[in-house]
Amino acid sequence: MAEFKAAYINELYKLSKRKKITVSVIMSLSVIAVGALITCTVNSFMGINLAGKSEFSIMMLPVFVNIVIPLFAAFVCIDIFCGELSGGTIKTTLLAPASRLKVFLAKTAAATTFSTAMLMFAMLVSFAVSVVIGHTEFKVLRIFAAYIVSAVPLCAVCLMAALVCNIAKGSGMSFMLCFIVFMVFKTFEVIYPAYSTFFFTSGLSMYVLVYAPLIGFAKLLRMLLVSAGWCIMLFSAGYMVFETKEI
Amino acid sequence: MDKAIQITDLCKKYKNGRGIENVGFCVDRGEIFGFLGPNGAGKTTAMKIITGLIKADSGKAMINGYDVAEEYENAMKSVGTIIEAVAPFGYLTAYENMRLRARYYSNVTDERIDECLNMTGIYKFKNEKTKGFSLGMKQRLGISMAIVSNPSVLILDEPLNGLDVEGMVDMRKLICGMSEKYKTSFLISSHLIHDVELTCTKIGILYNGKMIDVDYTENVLKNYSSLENYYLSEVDING
Repeated sequence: MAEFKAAYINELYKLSKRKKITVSVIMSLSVIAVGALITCTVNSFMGINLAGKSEFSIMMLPVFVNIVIPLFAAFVCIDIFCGELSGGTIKTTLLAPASRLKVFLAKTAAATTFSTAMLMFAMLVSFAVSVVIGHTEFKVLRIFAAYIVSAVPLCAVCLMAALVCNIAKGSGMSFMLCFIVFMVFKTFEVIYPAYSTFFFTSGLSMYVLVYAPLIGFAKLLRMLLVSAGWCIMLFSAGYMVFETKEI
Repeated sequence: MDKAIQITDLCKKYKNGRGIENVGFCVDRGEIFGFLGPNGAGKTTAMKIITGLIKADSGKAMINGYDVAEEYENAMKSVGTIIEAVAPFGYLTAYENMRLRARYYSNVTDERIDECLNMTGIYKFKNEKTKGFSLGMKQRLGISMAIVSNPSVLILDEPLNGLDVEGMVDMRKLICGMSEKYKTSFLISSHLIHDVELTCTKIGILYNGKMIDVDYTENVLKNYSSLENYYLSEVDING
């Protein structure tokens, strides 16, 4: 456990020193600012109540879970797997007294921590913006729950990116593959709606179940379990590739 | 005698047909083992297997009594390494790179980090990002990172690469000092045969993936005028 802790702290430390954190913060703020601007314009000048206090936070959620966070999760995974491999620094990481399982676990945990932190940051900022916008009641708990359940499918997205980064050669190829895989699953969701709950990307719309007037607990549980299943499968596949990698 | 490293019938074949075949040797506690061989002989391959970076097709590598393939963490707990070129994280400072390594050991303090950076002569660059470091400075940092936990075994692939004359002399002193003072065992590969002669107590010659001879430096120098002559003679006879 001490080895995993050290490896995990190291990964977080390395991540904190990269410019991606700053870029992701700027990107999140920009997306929320654009969203707020559109909402304010529509609310004030068109006479339509596009989003109230609670709706604004929920309105921003799909943008984050479907576009912004998966994009940065891919960047982070490319950095911690492909970047280290091409720079030769992976040797420094692997020669520490921690097994490859712990190193892989630490790397994926760091990527997941990053995506969860980004999600929470988006929630807090959109909360703050919500206070300024709209006049409807503020459903804090519902919003909080909607953001929290979205963290599970985002974990699967991170693990998918980690798997792709370990299979593909080079950062460019990894990014392309991450994008293609994500888009293929999203397209399948549209083409085969009957089976959509079994795709790892379908969990990204799980927040709808939490925010609906009547919470569908059974469906929510099923989708959470499907996402957890994807996490287990993707982690196992990613580790298998990482473990057999010859440096 | 207590074995720090024990290698038995190590085999590894790459797709291009190169690799190592039935390599076996042992390094006793406090011994400095010099790995000699031409480019492509398999020295780095053997060292990578010993440190778990690649897997052997067959054979066994044991460090401090632990099988590297089976009990990696126990085997590597007390091992410092440099394999091929030292590659620190360029966006981190020398100190931060040292901290990455030090986090795995509860007994490594900031004072110990400073001490190691001092020993290798890069303390004054402690807070500089390593992306601007020269080859020699990276090598010195790599050695600092390898010794920071005061390991009982050091596996160093070309540790003198890129070092200036002063640096080479300092490293030789450091290696001999650690071997004498702490009974640290060393497995060193180097092309600099003169340095191997001055530093190592035991020599192994790897040629075309096969270990053609292992002998104590003392014995070698009784029969040959220099290590270079011994090496050329062994390669000529067995290679």
